Amino acid sequence: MADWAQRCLDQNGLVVMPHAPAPQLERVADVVLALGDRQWTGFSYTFQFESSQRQIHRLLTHATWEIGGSIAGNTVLSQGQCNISL
Amino acid sequence: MNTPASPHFTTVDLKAAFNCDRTELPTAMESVGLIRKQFGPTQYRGIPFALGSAAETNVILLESERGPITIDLEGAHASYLIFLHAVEFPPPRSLDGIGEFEVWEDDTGAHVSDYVLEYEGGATVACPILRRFAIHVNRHGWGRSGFACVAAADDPVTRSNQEDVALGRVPTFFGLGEQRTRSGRDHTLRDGGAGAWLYALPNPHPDRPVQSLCLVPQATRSVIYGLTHTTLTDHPLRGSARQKLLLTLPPGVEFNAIDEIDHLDIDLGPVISARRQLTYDPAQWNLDASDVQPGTSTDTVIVEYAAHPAGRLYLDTPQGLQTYTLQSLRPDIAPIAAAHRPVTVHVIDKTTRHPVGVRIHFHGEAGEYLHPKGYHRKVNAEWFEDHYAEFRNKANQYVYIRGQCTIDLPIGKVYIEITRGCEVTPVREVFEVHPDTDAITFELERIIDWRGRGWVTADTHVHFLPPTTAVLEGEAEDINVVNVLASQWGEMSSNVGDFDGGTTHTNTQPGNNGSLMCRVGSENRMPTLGHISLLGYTGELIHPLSSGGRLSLPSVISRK
Repeated sequence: MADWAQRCLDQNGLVVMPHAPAPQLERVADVVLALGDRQWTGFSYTFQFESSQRQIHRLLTHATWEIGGSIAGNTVLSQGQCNISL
Repeated sequence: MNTPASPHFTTVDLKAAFNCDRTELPTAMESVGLIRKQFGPTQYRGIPFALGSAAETNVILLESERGPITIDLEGAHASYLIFLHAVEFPPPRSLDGIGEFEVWEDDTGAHVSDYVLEYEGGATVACPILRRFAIHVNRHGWGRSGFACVAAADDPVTRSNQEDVALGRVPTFFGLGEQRTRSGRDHTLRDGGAGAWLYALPNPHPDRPVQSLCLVPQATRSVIYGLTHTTLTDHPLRGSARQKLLLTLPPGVEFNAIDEIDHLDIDLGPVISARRQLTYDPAQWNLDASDVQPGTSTDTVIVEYAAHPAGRLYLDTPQGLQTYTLQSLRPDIAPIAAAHRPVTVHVIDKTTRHPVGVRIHFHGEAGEYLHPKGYHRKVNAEWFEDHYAEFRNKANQYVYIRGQCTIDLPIGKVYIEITRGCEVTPVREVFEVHPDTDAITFELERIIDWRGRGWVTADTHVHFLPPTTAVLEGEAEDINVVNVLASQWGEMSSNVGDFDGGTTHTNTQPGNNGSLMCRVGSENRMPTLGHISLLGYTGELIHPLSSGGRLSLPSVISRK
């Protein structure tokens, strides 16, 4: 996976990882290991929502994901096959 | 075909250790899927197991309340012990206000149990069994594979729809037929999955007799259906990369309607194909003739497979079941050099030095077709079944490339044909692949230039191809303009979405000065009065695409 991603970056492409078995540790490793010479210091989820017509029913987030921090206890619910539970 | 199980395995009778009837298993680990109806002697992926009988204790339920269970292995020598087992499904979770939901990946890597090998003399080795690695749940979903275990199911090979029709069989649905091979893991999903997983536990001391095996449960429950062991040194669940062999058929074995052999199987891995051998005359592989077609063998077949090296090949013949050992070949079964050397092939114009689109074909010394990466081992030339950048001219198969491809080739002689229309000298020659061959370049020379005199070549009647593929195939056939035609076939419409009434498709490859293009038009049809090709127009698609009655389909859709 990392090799494919690196070759895409080398060819000026954009890498998106749509399907992977959870827990998605290889993806995390790609980020931690500075794939594509990107020096990551951490990453987090950000939620942005703006609407004058609709309201959010429920948004649950218990913590950000930070390398070196603790992600235990977080659950992300989605309709795909790759629900994440860490 | 009733293929015997591999003789390289010894089943273990677990009758004395069975402590539960499958029907009494907890819901989280109930017997489902493929294994649900299987009892007694059986095999998975060619490995034999002695399953329990129905309506009695027939599985080992491993749970902490029942404690460890010991199985006497009577001093067996084993390199691997193969388990057929499954772990209980994680309990559903709930989240404030949302209710219960399943989280499939919970506890990945959790310690399910220990399988403890006890050797003669008293030494023991405890092997931890971890969830999702050595063992997995009975019901798995797409994208939820085990990491160190495989589903207890064979990997099937599928045929294209027209091949199934020609053989008088019920076709699979179209896309599945084109996949040609599937994993047992995915194939069984429609029936509820395999229901259990195969795990080959490596014995860290294969030289020591194993006196017994102690199954020690931890916090999570699991179920064991069967156990067998082997002295094979290669991992028993790991097949080889694709290989081919040449088999001389015994008398009485006939080719089927698609020139393949039925009733041929390998115990430890799938037979991908068994096709009649094409026999090329090396002395004719030159430019003396415009088209060089192979002969067809009457009694030899090229078998492509991906099996464990200790696998055995079985052929059902009128004289009975013939057995061949893959590792010790006989005169009537010979290996074909494996195509495992990746080589990049470049094709350039001799004058401009630019890569050029071409039609290209490779075959090996046994006449076996060799296809570049990303293309198919078997080109589907049937109507509306394959719109890829490929082509079949009688027995010869081709792909279209944009001046470069990477292909896995065998070490030794490789036969190549490269064409680019009628005004460029083709290549038909043999080259040698060495263990260090990385790349090879061929040059094409244009000897006639009608385009330079103002003429334009065109194919005004093309269906189904995506416009970009049409540009490539046009370049490779030296066609300046390709007209892809939207049309209607009964209630099926084709290429309508490709028509926008304005775009002329071309490419920006070096050497393309805009003289290679594709334009989508339409072929409008009236069954009695005929068809008319409307080319290069702008604006809206001209309707009706078809009028005046039902379509009479062309004869090309009939294989014969």
